[in-house]
Amino acid sequence: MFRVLLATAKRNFIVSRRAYPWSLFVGRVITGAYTVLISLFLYVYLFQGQTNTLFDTYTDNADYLAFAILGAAFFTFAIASIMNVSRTMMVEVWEGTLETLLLSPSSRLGYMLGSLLEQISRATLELAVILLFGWIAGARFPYLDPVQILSVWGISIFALFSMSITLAALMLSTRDTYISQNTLFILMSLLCGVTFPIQYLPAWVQPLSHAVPFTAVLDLFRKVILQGHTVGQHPELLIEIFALSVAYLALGFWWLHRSERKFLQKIFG
Amino acid sequence: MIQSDNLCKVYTVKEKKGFFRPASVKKVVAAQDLSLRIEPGHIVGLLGVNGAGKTTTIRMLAGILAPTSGTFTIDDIDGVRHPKEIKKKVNVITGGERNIYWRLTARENLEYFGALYSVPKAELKERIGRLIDLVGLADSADIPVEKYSKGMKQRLQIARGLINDPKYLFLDEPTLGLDIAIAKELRAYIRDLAREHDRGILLTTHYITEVEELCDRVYLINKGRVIKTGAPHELIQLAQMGVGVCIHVDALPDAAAGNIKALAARYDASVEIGRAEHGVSILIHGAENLSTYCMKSLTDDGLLVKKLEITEPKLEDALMKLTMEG
Repeated sequence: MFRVLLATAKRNFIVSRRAYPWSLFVGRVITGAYTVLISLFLYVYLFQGQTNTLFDTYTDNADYLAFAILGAAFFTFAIASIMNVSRTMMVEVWEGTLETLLLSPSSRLGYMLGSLLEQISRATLELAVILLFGWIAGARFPYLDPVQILSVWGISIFALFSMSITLAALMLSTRDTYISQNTLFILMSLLCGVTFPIQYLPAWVQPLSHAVPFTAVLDLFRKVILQGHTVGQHPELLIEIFALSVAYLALGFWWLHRSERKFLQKIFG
Repeated sequence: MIQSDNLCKVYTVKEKKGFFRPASVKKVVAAQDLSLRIEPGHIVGLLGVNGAGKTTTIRMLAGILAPTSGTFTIDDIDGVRHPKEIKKKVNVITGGERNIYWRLTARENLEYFGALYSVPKAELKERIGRLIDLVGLADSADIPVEKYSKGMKQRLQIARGLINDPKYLFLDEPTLGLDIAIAKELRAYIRDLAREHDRGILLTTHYITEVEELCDRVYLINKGRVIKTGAPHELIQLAQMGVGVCIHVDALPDAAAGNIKALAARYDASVEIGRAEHGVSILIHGAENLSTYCMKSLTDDGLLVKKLEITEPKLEDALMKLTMEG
């Protein structure tokens, strides 16, 4: 499995470099930079640098600009990771290489993790660049403990991978990528607390927020950077992330296996 | 050895009739009671018209598609229950330009596929070099495949199919679109793989010369079912194609024509006598070659034979006839 993982990561890296030498990276960073600018304009010109007491209560007196920029940067990281891993099988269909892939006895998990590894390395760089933009724009990240940040980063990869597998199964079963991924990303941006705390959402919507592991991951990320908490201080978030991720993984692989069989019947039949 | 017993594949096809109307479900039988045998060291042809079920059969035997019913084993491994195990032993080469990564070079493609098959790294390096030489891509091994011609892409497909040194190789129209020299070289390599390296090969092709040149045994399938099986020459005999003899003479007196007709009647052959450009043509079609008897009859009648043509039965015609009958 490990060899398939590394080979797939290397293959994807070469393909991405030849297909989009810079444009993909720049495109994503620009999107992140725009989000930073929107947050900045909202905060400076609309809110006049003020947030109400509810926001302070929900976020433990966090600075809104830092709150929004962390959300936007981490959201960009999440969609880049989820999108490319979940689409990887569909890309094989478009490129006409799915049959050769299925012909080999290679590990599907290794293949998916290989796609994740290549994608995470690029998405992490994009995350760092967007955070740098945010810092230039005036956001301050008071607690940058590398151990805690790396811990959240590792946990987030597990959570995002589980979401990717479920989305991959959905894409294969519907033979669609655009509607599936864009619907999910819009829902995530609304439900997961990317630019505002989820407590602002109607009470009946909030359980939906907690059905997506990204919500808890983002919350943990902010708690580590904005409040200086350690990962260990939030077992409730860790349990939420792991329980949901394991459930998503189990569902995703079960569904992916079924979708794959049905998909092959459709394309070969 | 590969052995399949009563392998069946039925596709369920949904046809949408409109946005609000329910789709109709149709069952399409792609393979039916297929019982095949492919032994190491043998080349077996799987022939049939388009849509006969050849590619579906290959996909089932390669472990990509699960059969609807029936079983198959590869070296005593149950292919239905253990598709991953059998995938280590087989590979498929298809005609066309797909099934390779166009953004990668030939070498990168082969490295990737080698990794998917867990070929040991040192062995893989040596094998890639050998395969690249075999398919004549040594000068362009480090150029992205998207810059290749159609023939070059197909040659890379061949190298890809051999990357795991498969014990059984399924060739689905492997020489389609290849230039004559490479196709000839590939045929020689296929023969060598079977005869010298004891590999079992299943070949589908529309080039009958390939079948005649390579196959030890042929399965003729139609509508997913095996209709005839045997060695190529056995199929020709089975189709009772017969041999045609065409003789040209300056003139054919009535007595000589009568002798020829009597000869044809004796051997249950048909005879046609007609005018040719500078004389008369005699066409005799029988189960066996009657040219010697005809020549003797004509020379006994004092006639000089100007031209003699013997039309041997062709496998292509035999297959066509058997398919129509089947």
